[in-house]
Amino acid sequence: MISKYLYLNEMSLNRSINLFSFLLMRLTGIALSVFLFLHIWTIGQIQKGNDSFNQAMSAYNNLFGWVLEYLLLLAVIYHMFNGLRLIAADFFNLTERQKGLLWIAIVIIALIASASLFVFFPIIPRNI
Amino acid sequence: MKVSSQAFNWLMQRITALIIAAGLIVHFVVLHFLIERPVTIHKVAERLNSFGWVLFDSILLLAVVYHALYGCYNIVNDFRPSERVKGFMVVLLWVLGLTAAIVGIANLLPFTKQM
Repeated sequence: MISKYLYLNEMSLNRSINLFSFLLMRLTGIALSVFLFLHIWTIGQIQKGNDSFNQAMSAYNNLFGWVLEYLLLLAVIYHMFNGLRLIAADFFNLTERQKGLLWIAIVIIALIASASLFVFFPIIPRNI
Repeated sequence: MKVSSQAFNWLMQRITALIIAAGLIVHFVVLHFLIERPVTIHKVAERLNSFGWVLFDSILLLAVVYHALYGCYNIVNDFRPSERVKGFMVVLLWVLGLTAAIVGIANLLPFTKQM
């Protein structure tokens, strides 16, 4: 029964940053797939009229909406840069340098995440 | 036949990833950095008045739908499902994918008629 759950086996046998990045890639992938359908549904409010669309968009223009959008950004940039790392490893024969590439991806993600705080949270003064 | 189909999907997953990476950067910059919040119908319609932007959004949508659903299929496959579950997943993902693509593109059209 347990052997069916490869993640759990791997987790207990081989705890490493590579496995953690693999799991996070899967988790962000599922979250972003769910968001895709939510996004299509939200944009679909246009079918009910202009006011419905504006209302749906305004519903996210508060602290709760900003937090959700920022979490979305974090999921997107992690999935994107970790994915680009995997593509680079696949196509440019960089499998042996995967760990180094992962750290480069983490630094880029941290930089974008920090800089984006000022864009996603208008209450933070930009001249700190 | 099965192997070549898997190889095709593997390659498509990488190609759509690159399209999405480039497209999402543009999407985020335009909708989060350049447009002042809240996003309104007029701000979106102004952009979608151009055929180029409608084409851009449509290509991005199709790439995202393919990438997301094939990714979900891969995740399910990690758990070694039976052939029956796999078959069910293929049908379910095709239905979800076609619905998302059709509804998503249909959602773009009302914006083009605003200006």
